[in-house]
Amino acid sequence: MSALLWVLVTFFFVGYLVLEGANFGVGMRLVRGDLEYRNRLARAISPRFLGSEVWLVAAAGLLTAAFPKTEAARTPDLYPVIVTILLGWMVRDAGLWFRGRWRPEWCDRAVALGSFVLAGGWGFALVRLVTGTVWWPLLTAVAAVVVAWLYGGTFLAGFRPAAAVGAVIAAAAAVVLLTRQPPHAAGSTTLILLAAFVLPALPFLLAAQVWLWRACRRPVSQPGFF
Amino acid sequence: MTGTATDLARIEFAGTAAVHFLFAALTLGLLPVVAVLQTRWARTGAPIWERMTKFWGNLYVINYALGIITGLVMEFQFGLNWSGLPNTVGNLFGAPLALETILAFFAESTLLGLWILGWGRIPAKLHLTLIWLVTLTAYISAFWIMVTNGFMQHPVGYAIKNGSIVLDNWGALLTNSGMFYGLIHLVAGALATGGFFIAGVSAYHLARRTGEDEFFRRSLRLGLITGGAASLLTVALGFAQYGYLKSAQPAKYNVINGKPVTGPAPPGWITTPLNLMLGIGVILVVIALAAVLFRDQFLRSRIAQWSLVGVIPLPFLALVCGWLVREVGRQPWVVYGLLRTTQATSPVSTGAVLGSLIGFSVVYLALATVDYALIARTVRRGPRDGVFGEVPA
Repeated sequence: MSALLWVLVTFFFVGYLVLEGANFGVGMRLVRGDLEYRNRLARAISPRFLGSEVWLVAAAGLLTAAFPKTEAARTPDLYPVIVTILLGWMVRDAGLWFRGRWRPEWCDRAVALGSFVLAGGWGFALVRLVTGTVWWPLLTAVAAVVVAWLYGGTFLAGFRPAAAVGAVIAAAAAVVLLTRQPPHAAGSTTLILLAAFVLPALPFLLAAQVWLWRACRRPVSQPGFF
Repeated sequence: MTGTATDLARIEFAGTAAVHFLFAALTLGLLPVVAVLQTRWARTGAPIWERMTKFWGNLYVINYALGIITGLVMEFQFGLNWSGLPNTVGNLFGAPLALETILAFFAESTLLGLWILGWGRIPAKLHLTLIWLVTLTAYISAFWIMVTNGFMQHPVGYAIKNGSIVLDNWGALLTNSGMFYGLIHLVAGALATGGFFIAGVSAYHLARRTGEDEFFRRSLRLGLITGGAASLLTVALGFAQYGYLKSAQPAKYNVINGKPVTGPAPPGWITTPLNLMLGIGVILVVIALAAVLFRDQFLRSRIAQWSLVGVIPLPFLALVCGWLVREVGRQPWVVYGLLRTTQATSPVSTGAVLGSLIGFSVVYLALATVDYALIARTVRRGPRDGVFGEVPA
C-alpha cells in the first residue's frame, strides 16, 4: 500500500514539474518586451497556472499524510530554500492575478522574478535533498532555470514540441523519485483511507484537467480577467 | 526550537491563518450567491442577472486570489515550523489535509480556471454547472480543514500502538463533534460575512445614487436576506457548542465562563474576543430584524444605508475573534490533551523562523493591501466595469 501512495506522490509531483515548468519558462520571459508581447505571453499561461500549481499542493499533502516522518525529518535541512520558493510562488501568483487590473509593468516583473526563483529553487532543493551537498544544487539551480526558459519557449511554439520536452522531464523526474521511496510510511489504516478517497476521485480530476487544457486551445485574444 | 522561536512560529501561524481566514470566509460567503445569480440568469435570460453574476463574481475572484496565495503558505508551515505534528500525530493529522488538497483544492482550482476562462467559450449550461461545482468543492475544502482542526480540538479515532499514535476509526474522525459544531458555526458565519458584504456594497451605491438603483436594490435585498438569516444562525450555532465544549474542553469552557480552572488552561484574555464577537452578533441580528420590520422604509433610509456600509468589516472582525477563542482557547495544547504546543515545533533555529516571519509578513501585508484596494476600486466602479471580457463567440 505504501508503494501505491509513493507512486501517487510521484505522479502529482512530476505533473507539477511538467505543467508548471512550462509556466515558469513563459513567466521568466515577462522580464522584458512591450505590453502587447507580455500580454500574449501571460494569457498563454494565466488560465492554467491555478490548475497547474495545485499538483504540488496535492503532492505535498499526500507526502505529509502518507510519509509524515519523512517530511518532518527533511524540512529543517531545506528550511530557507522552501521559504524562498514559497515567497517566489506568492509573488509570481500575485503578479498573474493582479496584472489585468493594477500596474502591469510591476506585476510582470513580479511574475518574472517569481518564475526565476521557483525554477531555480526547485533545481536547488531537489538535488540538495538527494545529494546533501551545496555546490551541485547551485549548479542544478542554474541548469533548471535554463531548462525552464527553453521549455517555456517550446511551449509558446506549440503543444507538440512542448509535450516532447515535458515527457523527457517527466521520465527523468519519475525515475529519480520512484527509486527513492521513503522508508517510514504512515499506519495501514491511514494509507487505506487515503487510497479509498483519492483513487476514485482521480479520473474526475484528470478529466477536469484535460477539459481545462482543451478549453485553452483557442488562444485568449481579448483581455479577460487576467 | 527555543522558547522565542516557538513564540515566533506561533505568531507566524496565527498571522498567516488569520489573513487566510478573512479571504477564505468571504469566498465561502460569496460563492453560493454567485451560483444562485448565475442560475437565475440561465433560467430567465434577463440581462440584470448576468450583470449581477459578473459583478459579484468578479469581486469573488479578486478576493479568491489572496485566499489561494495565503492558503499555500499555510500548508507548508506544518512541515517548516511544526514538524512535531506530522511526527507524532501524522497518522491522523495529515490524511484530512491531504484529502482537502486533492478532493477539494485541486478540483476547485481546476474548475475555477475553467469558469473564469469559460465565459463565451463553454456552453452556458456547462458553465453554470462549473460555478456550482466550484461552490461544492469550496465547502468540501472547509469540511476537510475542519476535520483536521476538529482533531486538534477534540482528538478522536486514534489508538496507541507500539508507542505511536495511529488512526483506528475513520468514522469517528469524520464525524467528530469537535469538527461538526465548529464547521456549521463557521459556515453560517461565512455566509453572514458574504451577505453583509453584498448588502454594504449595495447600500454604498444606493446612498451615493450611482444610477444603478434596480441592480443594487435587488442585491441589497439578497445580501440582507442571506446575511440576516445567516447571522441569526451563526449566533444560535455558536451557543450550541457550549454543551459539547463543557465535556470536551473543560478548561476553555471554564475560562470563557469566568469559572475557576485547575491544571493547564488557556489565557484569560480570550474572553475579550469572545465578548466582541457576541456584541457583533447582536448588532447584525438587530440590523436584520430592523430590515424585516421596516422593509422598504429601511432600505430607502440614508442612515440605514450608511450603517450597512459601516457594518461591512464587523463580520470579518467577529470571524477573527471567534477563531482566537477557538484556537487560543485550545492552549497550551496543539492537540487537546495529547500534544503540547511546545512539543510540536521543528528543530530549526530562531533566526530561520524570524527570517521566514519577516519575509511572509512583508509579502502578506503588501499583497493583502493591494487586493483590498482592488476590491474597493471594483466596488466603487460598480457593474459597468468590464470583466470576464470575452464576447460570446
